[in-house]
Amino acid sequence: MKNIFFKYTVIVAVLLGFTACEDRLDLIPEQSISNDAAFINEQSTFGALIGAYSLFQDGEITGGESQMITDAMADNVNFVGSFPTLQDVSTYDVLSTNGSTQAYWTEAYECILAANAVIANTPNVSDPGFTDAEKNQIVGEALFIRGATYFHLVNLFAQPFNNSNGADLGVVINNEPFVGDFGAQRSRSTVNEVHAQIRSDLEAAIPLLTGEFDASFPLRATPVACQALLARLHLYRGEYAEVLTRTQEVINNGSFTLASDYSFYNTTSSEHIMTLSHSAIDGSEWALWYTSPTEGGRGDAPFSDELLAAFDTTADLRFTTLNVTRQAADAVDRIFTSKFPNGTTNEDNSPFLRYTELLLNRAEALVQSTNSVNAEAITILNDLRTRAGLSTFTAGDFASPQALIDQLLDERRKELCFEGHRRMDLLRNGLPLRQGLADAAFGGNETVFPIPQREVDLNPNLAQNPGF
Amino acid sequence: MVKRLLLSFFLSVFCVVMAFAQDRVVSGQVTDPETGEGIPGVTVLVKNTTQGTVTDASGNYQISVPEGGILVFQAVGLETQEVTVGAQSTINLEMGSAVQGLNEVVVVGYGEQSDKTLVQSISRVNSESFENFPLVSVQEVLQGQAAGVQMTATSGVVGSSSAIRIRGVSSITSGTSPLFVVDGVPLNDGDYSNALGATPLNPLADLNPQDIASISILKDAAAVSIYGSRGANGVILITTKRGGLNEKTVFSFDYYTGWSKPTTTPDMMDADQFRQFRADVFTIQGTPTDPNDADVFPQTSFDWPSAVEQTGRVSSYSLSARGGTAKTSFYVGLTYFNKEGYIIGNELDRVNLTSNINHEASDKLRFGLSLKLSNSKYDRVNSDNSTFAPFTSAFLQLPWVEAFNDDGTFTQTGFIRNVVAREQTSQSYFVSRRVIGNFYLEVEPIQGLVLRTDNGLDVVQTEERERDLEVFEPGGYAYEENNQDIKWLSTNTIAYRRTFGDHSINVLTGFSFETADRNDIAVEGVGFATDALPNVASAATPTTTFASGTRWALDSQFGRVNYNYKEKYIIEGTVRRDGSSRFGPDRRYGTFWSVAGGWNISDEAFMENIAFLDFLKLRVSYGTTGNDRIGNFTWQGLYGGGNDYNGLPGFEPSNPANLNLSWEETEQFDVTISAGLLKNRISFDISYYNKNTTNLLLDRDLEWNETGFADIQSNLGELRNQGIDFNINTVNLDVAGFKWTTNLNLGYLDNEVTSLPGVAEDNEGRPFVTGSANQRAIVNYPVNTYFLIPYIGVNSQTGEAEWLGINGEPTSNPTQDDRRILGQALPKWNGGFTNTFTYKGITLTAFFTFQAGGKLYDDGLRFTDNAATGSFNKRVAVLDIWRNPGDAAFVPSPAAASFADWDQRSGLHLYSNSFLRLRNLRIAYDFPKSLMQKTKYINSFTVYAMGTNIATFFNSFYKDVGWDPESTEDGDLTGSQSELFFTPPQEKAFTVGVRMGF
Repeated sequence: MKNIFFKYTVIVAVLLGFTACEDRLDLIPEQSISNDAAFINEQSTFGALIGAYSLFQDGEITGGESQMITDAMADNVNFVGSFPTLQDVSTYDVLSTNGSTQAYWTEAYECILAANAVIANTPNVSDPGFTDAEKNQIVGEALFIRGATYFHLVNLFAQPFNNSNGADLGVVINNEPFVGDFGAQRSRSTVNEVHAQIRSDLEAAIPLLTGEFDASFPLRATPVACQALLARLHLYRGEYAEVLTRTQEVINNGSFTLASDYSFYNTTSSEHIMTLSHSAIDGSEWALWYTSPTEGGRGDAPFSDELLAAFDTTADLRFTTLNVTRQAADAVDRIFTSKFPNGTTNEDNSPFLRYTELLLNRAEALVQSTNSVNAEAITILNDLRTRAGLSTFTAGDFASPQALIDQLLDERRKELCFEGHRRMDLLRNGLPLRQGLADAAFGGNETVFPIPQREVDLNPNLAQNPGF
Repeated sequence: MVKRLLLSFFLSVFCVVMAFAQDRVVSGQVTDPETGEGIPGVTVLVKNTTQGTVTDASGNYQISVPEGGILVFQAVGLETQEVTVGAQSTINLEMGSAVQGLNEVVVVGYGEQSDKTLVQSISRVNSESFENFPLVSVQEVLQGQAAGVQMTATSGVVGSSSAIRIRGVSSITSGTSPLFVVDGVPLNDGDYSNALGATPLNPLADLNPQDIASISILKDAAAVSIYGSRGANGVILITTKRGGLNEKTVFSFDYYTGWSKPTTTPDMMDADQFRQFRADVFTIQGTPTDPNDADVFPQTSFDWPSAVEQTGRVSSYSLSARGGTAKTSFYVGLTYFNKEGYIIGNELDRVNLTSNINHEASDKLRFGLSLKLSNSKYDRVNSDNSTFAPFTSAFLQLPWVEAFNDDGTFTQTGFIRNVVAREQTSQSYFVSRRVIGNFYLEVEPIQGLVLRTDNGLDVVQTEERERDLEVFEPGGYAYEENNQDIKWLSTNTIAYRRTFGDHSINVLTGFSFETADRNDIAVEGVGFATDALPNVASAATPTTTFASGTRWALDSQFGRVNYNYKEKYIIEGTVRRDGSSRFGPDRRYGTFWSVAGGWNISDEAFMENIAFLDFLKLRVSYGTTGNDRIGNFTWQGLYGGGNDYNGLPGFEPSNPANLNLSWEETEQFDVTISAGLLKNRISFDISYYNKNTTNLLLDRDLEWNETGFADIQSNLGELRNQGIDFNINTVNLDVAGFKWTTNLNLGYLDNEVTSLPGVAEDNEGRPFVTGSANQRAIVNYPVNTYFLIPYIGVNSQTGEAEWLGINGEPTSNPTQDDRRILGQALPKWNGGFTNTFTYKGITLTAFFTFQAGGKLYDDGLRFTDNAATGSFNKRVAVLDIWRNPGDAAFVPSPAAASFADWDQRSGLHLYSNSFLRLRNLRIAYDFPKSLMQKTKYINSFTVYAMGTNIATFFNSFYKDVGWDPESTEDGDLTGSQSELFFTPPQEKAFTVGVRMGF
C-alpha cells in the first residue's frame, strides 16, 4: 500500500513540477526593439537614422519605380508592361484607388515620419560618448531625407510651381513623430508652403552636416547634396539667381567632375553628388523595369519612339554605349537602356544627384537669368556633347535665348533619360508631357496623381486633386 | 491559486490509499434483439466512474466491477441501459434502437457529459459521416454537417486552407477561426508555408481524417467559456479512435482511389478569337487592322488553360488495429495518402502514424498516451495572385504566346510566366513534419473523484524549398525556409461527480499553462553556375538571410459545476481566468464565465399523456468568452530590425504602441429546444443565439501622413451576430428492410457592426473600417459589406458603359463618391441536406450543401474582362462588344470614353454566392455478415463508389463566368471574404474504395 501511494505521489509531483508561474507571460520579441530602446545611445540612434535611409531608398521614393513611371507618363519610356496600375499611369487612366500611386504617398510618409522621430529624439539622447557634433550630423541627415522626400511628394501629387505661382494645393506637412495621439487631422499645404518647408529642412541641415566627406560619401547626405537639391528646387520655382548661387557652391567645393564616359552608373565616381546605395539584399527597382525577362527583369520600360528619334543613334555615345536590344514584357524585341543592368540581383545604385544635372541646372538658369545666349551655358552644353562624341556649338548657332534653352532641354533629356527627371522638366517649362494626347497637356488634371482614395476616405480635410 | 490547487491535488492523492474496495469480474454478450447477432462497439461503463470497456466484434465484453456497482451500456443509436451488478458473473443484454441522439456521451471541454444532462450547445459529427471520404483535412469534415458552422474551402489547390466560422464572425480584423483541440491538445495553427500568391497551406492538414472518432463543435457560451480567452470563435474538439478493454483485436484495412477535375473553368479566347478581337478593337478605334497581319499579331497559338490542367488522382491506404486486454487497450494506425491535384505539378504525399494506448494499472489509476506522427510532402504550385501560378497565368497569357520553341525548348514568356516550363523545371516543395502527443494520468482515490494531469506537445517542423532554373529565372533562383513551432501544454484538473438520491453533482476545477515557441530561418539566393546545383548555398549572391523567433504563453485557471435534479432540472456554471502574454502587463488577465440551465420537460408528469412526443428539452445559457487571435507583440511600440542601408544596420518604426490593448469580449445568449416525436421518427434541435462582441480587437486605419503607419491594433467597436441553428433528423420510411432517413441542418446568421466610435466616416456619415478595396465594416451593416460603384450596363444607343451615380442618374464617368453599399459577402443562410437509403446492405447517400444571401467579388475579371488592355487574354464573353446603336452588348464600344475604365472596381464584378451543390453521392454495399463469417478471416467487407461536387445549381457565376462560387482568395481574412482572384475552383471527383475488417 505504502509503495503504491509513494509511486502515485512521485508521478503526480513530477508532472505538476512542470507547471506555471505568471512571469512566464513576460515575453519580448526577438527581431524588434521597443520605441524606448530605439533612442538610448549613439549606436541605436544611428540605427534609427539608417532605418530612415532604408525607407528613403525604396522604389517608391528614390529607388526606381516612380522614376520609371514618370518617364513613361512623359515621352521617354514606352510602357509595355502588364501591371494594371502602372499601365493606367502610362495611359492617363489613373483612378484615385490606384495602388501604385497610393504607395508613392504611403511610402513617402512612412519615411518622413521615421525622419521626424530621429529629428525629435536625437537631441535628447543621453549618452556620454555621443557628442553634440555627432548628434547634429544625425539630425542633419534626417532633415535632408525629410526635405528630399517632401520634394518628391510635391512633384508627384501637385501641379508644378509655374501652374499658378505655387498657389495650388501641395501635400501634407507633418513634422511631428507619431506618439500615439490622434489629434486634429491635417490638411494639404500649398505648393509654396511645401517648397518653403523643403528649403527650410535643407538649409537647416547644411550647418549640422560636419562629417562631410567620410567614407560613405557620396552615399549619404552632405552639405553639397543639400546645395544641389536646393538648386533643383529653385530651378523648379524659376528662382534663377538662387540656382546660380547654389550651383556655384557645389562647383567651388571642387570634389566633382564630369565623368569621362558613361561607366559611372553604380559607382561612387566624382560624377555623383549623391547616389543611393543598393545591394542584393536591399535591391533597387531600376533593373526590374529596365531589364528584359531574359535578364531577370520585367522588361516593361523600353525606349519610346520619341526618345529614339531624339538621339543620333549612330554617333551619340549616350545611346550607342547605353542600349541593348532584348525581349520586352510583350515578347517583342525592344531597345532598353543599359544604365541599370543588374536584373537578377537588383544591386543598381540610384543616381539621385548627378553633377551633370547640376551643371545643366546652372546652364538653364544662366540663360534664363541673363536672357541671353550665355557663353558659360554653351560651354557646359559643349562639355556634355563632347563627352557624348558629338559636335559642339557656338553662340552663333542659337537664334535666341529660347533656342539655347530648347537645346539644353534636349541635351538634358538625353543625359538624364530613365532617371526620372523628364516629367518635371517638361511641366516646369509649361510643356505637354506627350505630344498629341489631350490628357498630357500642361496643367491637365491627370498630369499629377490623385491623393490616394484611402487617405481621402479617412481624412475629410484632405482635398482631392481636381478630376478624380 | 496555483499553489492552492497543487495542495489540494496532493491531499487528494492521500485518499488513494483508503479506497481499495472489492472488485469482481463480469462478462457477457450484447446482442441485437432483431437479428440476435452480437453488437460490437458498445461502451460498457461502471456508472459514475470513467472505468469502462467496449464490446468486441462479436458483442462480448469483460469488465471488473465493484460489488453493487452499476454497469451502463451505451452505443450510438441504441437505447442506453443500466444493470446493477449483484452476484452474477455473466450479464447478457439485448440492446434495441433508441431515441436518436438522446443518451449519447458527448465530449465537452475537459470532460464528457451525457446528452440528457447536457446544457451546452454542441454539434457532433461522428466518423460515420465522413469515413472513407477522400478528405485531405479535418476542416472538410465539417462542411455542411452542423448547423451554424460555415466551412469554406478556399481553393482547389491540394492542402489549401479553409475558412471556418462558427455562428458568424465575431471579430473584424483579428482571427475568426475556432480553436481546434485534438485529444486535449489545442493545436498550433500558424502560417508555416509561403503563401505563393494565395493563402498559405492549411496548418491542420497534417491530421489524418481517418483517425478521427468524433468531433464536437462547441457553440454557445456554456460550452466555450471554459476555453475563456480563446472561446469566442467557437471550439472544435476532436477525439481520435481508441480501443476498448477486453476487446478482441480487430484489423481494418481501407483503400480508396479517385480521379478529379476542376468543377468549372472559364471559356477563354483562342488565338484566332483574340486576334480578331484585338483587330476589331483597333479598327473601331480608328486604326483598321487585319487579324491575319503577321506584322501586328503573331500568328501562332497555344492552349494554355488545357496545358496546366490534368486529371487529379487520389489514393489512400489505411491499416489499423484496435483491441485490448483486461487492463490495456490500444488503437494503432498507419495511413498513406497521395493526392495529385488537377493543376499540373501539385501533389501531396502524406504518411500518418497514430497510437492511442490506455492502461488501467488498477481501478484507481489510469494513464495513457496518444501520439500522432505525420510527414506531409507537398509539391506546390502558386495560385491566385501570382504570375508563377499555373491556374492564373494560363488565363492571362496571350493565346498566341507559345510554351515551346521550335526546337522543343521552353520559351521565356516574361512577366506572365511560362508556367508549363516552371512546373517541369522548377522545384517547389513544402514538407511538414509533425508530432502531436498527449500523456494523461488519472487517479481516482475515491469513487467519483478524479485527479487528472494532461501534458501535451505539438511539434511542427517545416521545410520549404524553391529552386527555379535558368530557363525560368535567368541566373537561377533558390529559396529555403525552415520553421519550428513547438507548443507545450500542461493541464491539471480535479473532477468530482456524485449522485445523492435525486441530486447529482459534477464539479471540475483545474489550471493549465500553455506556451509556444516559434523560430523561422530563411535564405534566398540568385546566380548559379549550373542548374545541376539545387541548394541555395550554391548561389553567387544571397539576397535574403532571415531569422526570427516569436513566442506566446497562456496561464489559466478554470472551473465548472453541473448540478441536476432527477436529470430533469439541470444548472451549470463555468468560470475561467486567462492571462496572455499578447497583452500589456496591466491588461493581461481576463475572467470569463457562463451560466446555463436545462429542463427535460418530457420527464414531467404532465407530459406523459402526450403520446406523439417522446422527448422535449429546453436549454438556456448566457456567458462570456474572449479572443486573443492577434500578433504576439502588437501592444508594444516597436522598431523593426533588418532595415539596412549601405551595409550598415538600421531599424525603422514597425508597430505603434497600444499599452491598453486587451481582450475582445463576446457575450452570448442561447436558447435551444430539442425534441423527439412519433417514436423518434423525427428529432430536431432549434437554437436562437445572440452574440455581442465588445472591445473589438481592430486594426484601426491610420492616415499615413499623420502617423507613418497603416493601422494600429486597438480595442474599438462592437458587433452582433444573431441567428438560428436548426437541425432535424427524420426516419421517413422504415419498412421491410428498406430505410430512408433525412438530415437537414440549417443556419441563419444576421451579422451587424453596431458601433465603431472615433473612426473615419463616409460621405453619408457612417463610421467604417476598411476591409479590402471592395469591402468595409460599416456601422449598422454586416462586417463584410461591399462598398462599390453600382454598374448598370452598356447603353444600347451610345455604346458607353454606364454606372449608377450617387444622384441616381446613370454616368459613364463615375468617381469614388458614387460608391454605395452593395450587399454582404458572408452568406446569411447555409447548411447541409442528406438523404440516406438503406436496403439489405446497400446504402445510398445523397448529400447536398447550400448557402444563400451573400455576394462574391471576382477581382480576376478586372484582368480577363479588361477589354482595353492587350496584355492579357480575355474570356470569350468579351467578344460581345457594342458595335451599332441598338446592340445589347456586354462590352462597351472600343471607341467609347468609358472603354478604358470599364475594368475599374464596380458592381460589374459582383455576383451572388448562393448555390446548392450535390456535394456527395455515394453508394456502398456491405457484404452480409453471415457470408463473411464463412471466410473465417474477414469480418466485414464494404465496397463503395462516390462522386463529389457532381452538380451545382442556382449560381450564375458558376454557370456563366466559369469560376467556382465556393472559394475565397484570402482564407481567414475577415476583411475580404468571398473575394476571388483566379482562385482555383473546387474539384469534381469520382472515388471508389473498399473497407475490410478482419
